[in-house]
Amino acid sequence: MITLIYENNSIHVFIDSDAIQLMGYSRNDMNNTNNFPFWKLIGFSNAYAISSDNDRMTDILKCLKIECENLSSQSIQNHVVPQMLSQLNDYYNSTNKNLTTMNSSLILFENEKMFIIDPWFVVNQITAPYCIGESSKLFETSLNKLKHTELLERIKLTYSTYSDYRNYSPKMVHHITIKDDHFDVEHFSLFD
Amino acid sequence: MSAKFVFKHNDIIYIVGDIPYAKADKSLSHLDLGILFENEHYIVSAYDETPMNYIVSENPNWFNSKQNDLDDKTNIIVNILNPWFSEGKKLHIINDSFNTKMMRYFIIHNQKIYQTLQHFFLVELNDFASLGQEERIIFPYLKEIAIQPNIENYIELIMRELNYKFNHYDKNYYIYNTTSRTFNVYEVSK
Repeated sequence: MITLIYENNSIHVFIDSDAIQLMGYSRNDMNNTNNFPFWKLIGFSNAYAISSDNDRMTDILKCLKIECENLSSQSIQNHVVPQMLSQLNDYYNSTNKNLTTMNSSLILFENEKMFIIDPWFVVNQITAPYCIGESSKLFETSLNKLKHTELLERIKLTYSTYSDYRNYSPKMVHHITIKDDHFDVEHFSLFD
Repeated sequence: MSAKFVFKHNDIIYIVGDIPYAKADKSLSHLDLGILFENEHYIVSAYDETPMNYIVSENPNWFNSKQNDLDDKTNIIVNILNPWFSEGKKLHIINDSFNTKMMRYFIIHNQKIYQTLQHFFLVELNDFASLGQEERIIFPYLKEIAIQPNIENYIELIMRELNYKFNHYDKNYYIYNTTSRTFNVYEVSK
């Protein structure tokens, strides 16, 4: 699950170990932000991206220097999507037909303005809190119910409801706090 | 004839892989160990034998020292993996029916281990890495390898277990030291 929350003038991104999809490696390597499906957009001072899948497509998009002034639904649809498609066709697509879909959804955000590019390359503006992952609506509802609880407590309680529902719990959650042009990462286990 | 796992021990990165029986008693070249390319900055090692492998040795210019401000991981994606993919597609090795799961490599660079998983997805690692179906056997061993006093004995344990679990494994294996660029050949004892 990937969760975006806007609170105290900061954007909080929570990415759990299931979303990172790397099993078996050392704890240090699993906490390496370079392996997360999260990155700062090249060419922007404070715009970031998150992909719902962690794969080669994410790698290619991470390296893309986007030529676009400001992020808006229209500018993403008209400028960002064509640049993404061209890179993915060159370096990801193993067939001769042009790509029409992606495996994952992509979230782009600049300050509190957030946009999602769905697997059919359709762009929509979204508002936080927003979750992507399996049974994300359930996760979002539990989160909203607890909106007066302190942030970390709210996340832990939501994971507990979510894990009861799925009878399975991810192990680690990585908490990225973004303020303007820098971000900090903390890691916590759901079994403490 | 392929690399199976990589790890760091006392700041030295080692590559371990198996050697086919027919080759074990001959003098081995680095290519026999699955090492496709090496220069001062990079070592590229393959898990699978695929036609993609040959592209690397023909394009040493991809592995020049860095001339831009990209971080190491981004640099590997942009200047090595992307052209490698393009070349594979140009030569029709990558096409509708090519199994992109077979694009599995280890790249050693700047004291870090980079590993491509399926379809050239790149992961940056500091401690250890393993590829293929045997990773579920190797990983639990690798978690403790950094604290082992005698790695040769410990690796023999791993190779013995792999020989027991997978009958296509060869009894001969090598340990390649990426700092001294030398290797030794061993045999799993009975």
